[in-house]
Amino acid sequence: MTERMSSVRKRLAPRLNGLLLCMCLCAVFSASLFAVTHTVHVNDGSVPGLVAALEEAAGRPPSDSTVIVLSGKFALPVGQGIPSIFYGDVTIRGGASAAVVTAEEGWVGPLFDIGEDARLRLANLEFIDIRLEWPGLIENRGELEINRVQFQKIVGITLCRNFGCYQYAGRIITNHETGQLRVDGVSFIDSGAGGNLIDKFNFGALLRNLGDATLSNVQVYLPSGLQVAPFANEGSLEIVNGSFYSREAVLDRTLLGSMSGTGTIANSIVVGFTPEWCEVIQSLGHNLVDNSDCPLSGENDLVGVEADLIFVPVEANWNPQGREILTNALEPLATSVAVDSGAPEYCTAGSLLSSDRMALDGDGDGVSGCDRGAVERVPAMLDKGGINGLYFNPQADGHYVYIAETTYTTMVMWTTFDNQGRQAWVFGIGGEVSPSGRLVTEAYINRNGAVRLDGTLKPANAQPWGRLEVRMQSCNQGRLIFDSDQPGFGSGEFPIQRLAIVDLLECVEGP
Amino acid sequence: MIRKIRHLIAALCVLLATPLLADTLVFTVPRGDLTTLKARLLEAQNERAHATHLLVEGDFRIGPADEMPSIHTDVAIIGQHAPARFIGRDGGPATLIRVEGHGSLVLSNIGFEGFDLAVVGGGEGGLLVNRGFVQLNQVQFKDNIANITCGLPVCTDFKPLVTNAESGELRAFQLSVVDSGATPIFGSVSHNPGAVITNAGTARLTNFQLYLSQDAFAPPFMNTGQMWLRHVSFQSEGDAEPFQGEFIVSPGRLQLSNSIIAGFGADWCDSVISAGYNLVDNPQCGISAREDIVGRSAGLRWREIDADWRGSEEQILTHALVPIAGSPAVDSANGDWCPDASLQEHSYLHMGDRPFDGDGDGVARCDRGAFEIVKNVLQTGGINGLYFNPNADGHYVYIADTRYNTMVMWTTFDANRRQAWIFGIADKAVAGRSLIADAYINRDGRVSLSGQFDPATSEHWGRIEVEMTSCDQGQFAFFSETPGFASGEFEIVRLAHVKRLGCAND
Repeated sequence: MTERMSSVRKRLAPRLNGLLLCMCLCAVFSASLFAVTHTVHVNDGSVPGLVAALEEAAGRPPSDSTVIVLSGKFALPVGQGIPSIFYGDVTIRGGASAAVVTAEEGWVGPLFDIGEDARLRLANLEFIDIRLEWPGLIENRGELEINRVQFQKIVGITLCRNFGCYQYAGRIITNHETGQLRVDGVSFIDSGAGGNLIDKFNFGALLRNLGDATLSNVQVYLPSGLQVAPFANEGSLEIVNGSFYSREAVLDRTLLGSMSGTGTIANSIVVGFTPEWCEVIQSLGHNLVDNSDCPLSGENDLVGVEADLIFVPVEANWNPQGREILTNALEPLATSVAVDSGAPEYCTAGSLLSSDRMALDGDGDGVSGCDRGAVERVPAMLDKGGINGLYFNPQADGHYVYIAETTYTTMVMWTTFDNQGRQAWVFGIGGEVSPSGRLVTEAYINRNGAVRLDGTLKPANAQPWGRLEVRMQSCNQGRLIFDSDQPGFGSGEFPIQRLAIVDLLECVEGP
Repeated sequence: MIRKIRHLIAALCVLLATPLLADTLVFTVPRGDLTTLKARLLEAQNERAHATHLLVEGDFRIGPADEMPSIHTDVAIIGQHAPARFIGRDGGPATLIRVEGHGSLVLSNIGFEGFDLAVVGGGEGGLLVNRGFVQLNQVQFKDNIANITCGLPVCTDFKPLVTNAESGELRAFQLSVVDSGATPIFGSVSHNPGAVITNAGTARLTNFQLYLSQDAFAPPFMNTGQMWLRHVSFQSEGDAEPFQGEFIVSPGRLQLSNSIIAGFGADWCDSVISAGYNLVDNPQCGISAREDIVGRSAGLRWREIDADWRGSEEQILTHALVPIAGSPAVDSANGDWCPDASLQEHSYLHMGDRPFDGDGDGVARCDRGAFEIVKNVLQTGGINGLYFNPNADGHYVYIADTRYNTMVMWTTFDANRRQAWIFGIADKAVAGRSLIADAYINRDGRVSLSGQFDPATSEHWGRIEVEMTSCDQGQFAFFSETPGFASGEFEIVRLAHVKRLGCAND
């Protein structure tokens, strides 16, 4: 009997295996045939609507996809919980009017918690004015894609008590060991966990990566404050075409801290960060770093070179049919060495501004090329009136610059103040405006003149003052860089914005 | 060429008029011959059937005892191509010319200079006393001063340039008074009015300029009769506070139209009947007739001019109150009252070219005031550019004409030799060359040694006026009461043209 059964089993086994295989394949095909995408619109910033949509998504078969289209301003109440996404495929994106997520007041704990079997896509969203509590905004253990999203003033703090700190409190993204993170076309402005003077070694204000993360076309702009190092990597991190700019940091702020991770960086620009990060990441080349102490040495890496990045209004293409979220970006000036010098092999298909990164001739030299950094500069050659005109400092009104391009030379007059608050005016003569709108002049200051109280004038004499450099980015915007060792003056730079175009002499931008 | 044609026409008119003037006795007085002039005037007293025209030229030096025979008949004293000047010697007489009740006097192309208007011992006075009819046509009074001393309760007396008595009729067309009148050397300037004209009769004054280069003059006019002022330009300048003195005290009837009053107080405004189209810079002035402009700069400049009084080779009128093209006076008068000629024109038989297109908009309109400016337009880039002061290098002016307005930046110094920069915003430059701008100074800004900026705030500073006479030259005037600054004017010369823009004279 046993033998008969055994022989039957032997004869049937291949057929049973075939049957089982058939059943499996059928199950697979039926699953894919019956996978459904559910689209839910949540309008008017309805937080309960968003919660309900996520709860519905959680109740659907794992094979189903849910697309939640948001519109309006979602002001998260204090203590508001958002359902975790433990499995399934969820996309949350802004609609035509784009969506804003903010917090009414108080702290917001993890807003999105993505499980190992879940996938979340965030797109066309703006997170703004949120204070974070532990552990932060997004916890990812599954797959997370973030595209065309801006985080602005998303701020956490690290609490230090009894000589110990909650080192990773209040960051925007934590990508855990199992997490797969893809960030493309994302802007972080004035965001990150704050710190204090002992937080030099407290990393990961924006992202702590323990898993696998790729950052492309990401900009980080830290205009001021106490935010700690934006990135911490204990996993695998790849950075391509990033633009990272730190200004006026109170802390010594490095870009990236890494305890045990590995990482690569290519085609990126790093400005204003201390150089420790350079030792914990491998360069694939074509990076531009302003800090001369950075030991980065990949192919065509430029170290200790001024990047000429400027944070200016831009025309992005995130939401062509509605409100644009990305209004400002770190754009290289035409004079920047970042322009047209990226490595084509690492050049991403899109840029921060658009899904279509066209390798343009950004510096006007007749040769097109991919730019380093997140933004591909659109060529803006100044024609007709060009640089002529009157400009002011939009960050500190009351200081003016006027530029007169003559047939033979160009004159720059800067009417300003010295460090004692006394009126001062400095002028530069000489030099020629380059096709990309750059002008460097020797500068002078006039002394010993007077307008006497009887209305007569006493002549003045000019003394060398230093150097003025104008870098126009467009007809209406640029920078003035000054450098002086004269008493009462120093060195620095500031944006200039056109106040007036000379009549009959318009300025035209174009290749 | 036009001037020659005009002279030819005038000569023809004289020839044609000769039969009509058959009752006129015409005498040519030898150059500067005061004795003959007085003798002819004495003879004229008996010529009741004839008018007497005395053609004069040269300088007549007139001493204290040289009072002219009084005028009882029709007399005209006419300066010739070499104009006549009556110059006070040792102060001149108490009264120079007296026109009696039935007398008529025409003075033309004559200057009066250097008479002392102070009177010791009082009495009726006046360089010219009129009880009959007086016509002043192309006449200038210059530097005729009465230094008077005021103590409580009275001042020393003075004689006016013209005393028009109750029975007198005074007419003036093309009259200039420069730095003449009473200047109290002690006491207030606001008393003792009427040192230029004291009118108790009827006075009609047109194309009349009064320029006082300092603010130490007592009110020049006193009117207890009836006075019409049309197309007059009166300006008082001074180092002290503006709008110090009045230009007239008028308990009588005073009507004003198409005129400019600058630098005077505002009390007179309460006693005037404005017929409109006046420009008064004193913001306190309460006139409000049609198109009256109050509280704006008149933009008048005391300028050397090329006048054409009777075609004389040497001109009595060498300076005038000329509005800059950007003045609100230009092309803004009531054309119905616009005389054929302006102050500076030939005006023989009242043939003139007024009005002109002064603001370059293609339409000729009459200017307010006595002077009519002619078209002078800068084309293309016009006023745009960088300028410097050739007499005191190191001060710069930058002008940018935008689509909507014109911006002026003056980089200069204060009285304590500290760097200063002043900016003005004006309406678009008139005729591409002229502007009047409210000016501001920025304070409280700062640039730290590390390059950090503090924003600044702007404070009103005063006024800037720019008038380019050509693409490359012009005048820059500034007016400020801000501590450390003053008022003045200087020449500006173009330092640079804006590339691709240039400038073209019209």
